[in-house]
Amino acid sequence: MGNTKHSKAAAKYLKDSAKVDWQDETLWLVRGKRDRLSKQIPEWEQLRDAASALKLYSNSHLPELLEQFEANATANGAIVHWAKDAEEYRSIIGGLLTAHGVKHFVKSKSMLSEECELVPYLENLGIEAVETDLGERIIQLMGLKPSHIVLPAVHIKRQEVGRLFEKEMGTEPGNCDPTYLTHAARRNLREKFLGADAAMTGANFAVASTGEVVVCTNEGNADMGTSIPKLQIAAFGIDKIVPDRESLGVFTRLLARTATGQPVTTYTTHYSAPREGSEFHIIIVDNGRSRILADREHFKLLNCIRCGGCMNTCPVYRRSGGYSYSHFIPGPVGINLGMESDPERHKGNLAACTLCHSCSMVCPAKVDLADQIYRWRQQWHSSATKKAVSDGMSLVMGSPWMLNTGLSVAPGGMKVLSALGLDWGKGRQMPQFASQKSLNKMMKEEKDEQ
Amino acid sequence: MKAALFIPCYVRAVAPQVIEASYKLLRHLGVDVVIPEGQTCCGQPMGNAGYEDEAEALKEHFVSLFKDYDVIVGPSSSCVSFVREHYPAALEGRVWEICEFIHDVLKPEALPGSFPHKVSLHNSCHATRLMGMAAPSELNIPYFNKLKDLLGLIDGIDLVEPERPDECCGFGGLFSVEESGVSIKMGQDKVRRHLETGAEYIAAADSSCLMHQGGIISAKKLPLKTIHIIEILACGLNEEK
Amino acid sequence: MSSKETIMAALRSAGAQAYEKPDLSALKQGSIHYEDKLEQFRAAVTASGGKVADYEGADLETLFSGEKDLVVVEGVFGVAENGCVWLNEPVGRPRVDYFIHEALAIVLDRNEIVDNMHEAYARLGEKNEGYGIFISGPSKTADIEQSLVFGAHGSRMVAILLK
Repeated sequence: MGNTKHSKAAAKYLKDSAKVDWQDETLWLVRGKRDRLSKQIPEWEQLRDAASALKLYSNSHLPELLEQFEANATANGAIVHWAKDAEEYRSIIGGLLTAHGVKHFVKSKSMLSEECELVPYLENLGIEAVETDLGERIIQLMGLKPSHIVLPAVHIKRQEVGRLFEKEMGTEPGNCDPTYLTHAARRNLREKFLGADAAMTGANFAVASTGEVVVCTNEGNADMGTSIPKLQIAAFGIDKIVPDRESLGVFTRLLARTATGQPVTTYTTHYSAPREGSEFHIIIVDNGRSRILADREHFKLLNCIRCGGCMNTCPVYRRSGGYSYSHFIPGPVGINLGMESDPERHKGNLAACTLCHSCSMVCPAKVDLADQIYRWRQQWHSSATKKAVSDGMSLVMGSPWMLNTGLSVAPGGMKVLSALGLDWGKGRQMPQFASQKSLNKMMKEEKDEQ
Repeated sequence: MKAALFIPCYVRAVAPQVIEASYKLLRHLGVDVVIPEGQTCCGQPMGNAGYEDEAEALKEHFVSLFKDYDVIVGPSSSCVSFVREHYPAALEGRVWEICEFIHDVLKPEALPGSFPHKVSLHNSCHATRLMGMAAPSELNIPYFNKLKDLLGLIDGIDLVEPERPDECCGFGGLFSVEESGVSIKMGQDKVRRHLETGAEYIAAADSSCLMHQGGIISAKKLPLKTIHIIEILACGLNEEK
Repeated sequence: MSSKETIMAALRSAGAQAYEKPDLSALKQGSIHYEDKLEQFRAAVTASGGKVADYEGADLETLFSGEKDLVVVEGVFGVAENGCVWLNEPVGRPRVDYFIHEALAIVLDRNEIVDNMHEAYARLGEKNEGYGIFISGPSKTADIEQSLVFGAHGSRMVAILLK
């Protein structure tokens, strides 16, 4: 019955069991680091409560907070643009780059740019758009998409990077030492930074009280990028708004600890005024977020701060890989975001969850990820066969007569799922009906007693 | 206190000895317990699969069967958590998972019998994260584990936990069918970690997790057995009666 | 209708339940404090891959293993819980100096260390300086098989010089 897109892709992925185990261990290691760091903070659970409450507040007060942000950003000297959808986002950026005669463009990692498919659009305009986060750069040069929102190249082996860099950057054949390769990319991308006409970042937070945009990275790629050219662009979804710097105190304590198991990212940069002699453009993007806000059962999805923690902990993601999901964001939050963006296309992902609830407990902003998947399942069904099975179960298990008769005629040892015409796959034997004799005897004795 | 034993349908089908052990243990602990006749599935598999609406008749049936009891106790944390979260408020505060009920309400200081075996505790997702029977590894809260406390009452038991003590085993109801590849892989990983402890038994408060892991064990003919926690807690009661 | 108006109209018609702004004062008061802030700061900087040394008599050559491409800048205050240092827009030098050199030395007054990020942002207040950054140790990446490498794009070595 495994006929969803996810289960088919997962079945293929699972064939390379050494790689599956390696991915699982790698991601579990990150979850472990997150556990250790979170346990060093006695007030961790209060921080999560505060983050959740702050997001619920800001997302339910977006009109006034966005107005406040725009007024402050404008007073700081930035130029604010509004994009209702992906197309407008792309055309604003394309327009800015064209107007400034930009040929070489560097960008730091932004899931919004993936969502809005920016890079292919710019390449069509004849603009070189270089991803500067090392993982994103590897993925870009390989012609792939990120398989994880924080660790985009987590599925790529060092040997693959070695071969890629040998071709693209002229590194020594066969050398796949991560330090060597990272420093080769450092030199290679340094040229891109120095030659860039414009730089773009996403945003981790946009602060209404100050009109500033906060960007968190470990590599310093956003910082290198934005410190050189005369045009800087920052684009973010409306859900990135936080009310004030006081709330940044909460989010900056949670973000890196949950994402990568570090106390804070190396660089937490606050951009508000344009650098001397340059322009700073800010693009505020909706692209479906206001629709999520109107969805009473799922608006809490907007609490997400894109830390990737739910992916690292998800036992299904860790064993099926980012590409097995049909949405560009995989894992628990991706299952939910996909349903908001195009349910018909992404409903197959709903099956990729055991409802173990680990994601909901890792989430620093307390998005009720598992409960949301449960609710989506009530509206959208991943496959037609599942309905038949559910009906079969209701029929057999739901009638006292059927259940009793079924159990009394089923011979001890008969396989349970065969009774429903199901297969449980290779590597796992089906449970067998047990003899009811002893239980029936006990129940009869109990009745006689009364 | 009038107590009713809720018999989860699949527990009855594949592990009826768990029902017997539950009944005997509650009686031993002085509970006036009965097993209402005509019990059916609580509707959890349909709900988790996306057909909770089709479970409405089951819910009504369940409520009519159990509404007159002071407490309703069942040996399955996942079924009990479904009843708690998705049933009408009529039953609120009266539905218990049996281990939780024994730990929180009956509070026995000792239990008869001994179980001189090495047992690897399976902290199931629904016992840990939905029912709050142990501190989930994700949260920064003081450590506790009610299942461990209870098993500690049994003489001779050597209780251990696998690495990743509360990672999901991959059953997940219809997940095990619809995503059988990932489900089996998760089950294999889980069983391997239990095996690495050197335990003879995997014990849990959920027969569904045990059923799935049991399938992995028998496919590979591994030297491991599965057992419901209640069976261990009732191990000294077989001679009684 | 402008796109801004379209977005605002969609947000207003979303009819989301209005949640109150949480009061963070109990959280902030109850947040982690260190008996010896300086010691914790040192430990956090070291854990992030940076070094801590006394400003007086600091030997940069040794500190940065002979690296000549280095710059010395001023930090405003440090944060004990994570070892980061706040820097304002640099005066008399380009902003890129914070990132482009192989080695970065940040001079910091040892009395200017706060316990945690709540105190850090309380100290910054809601006023805007145009630009500011927290830096915690050297630039790093683990994008190749989760192996930690220093010097992805920014400075490969960072030392905090305590005044």
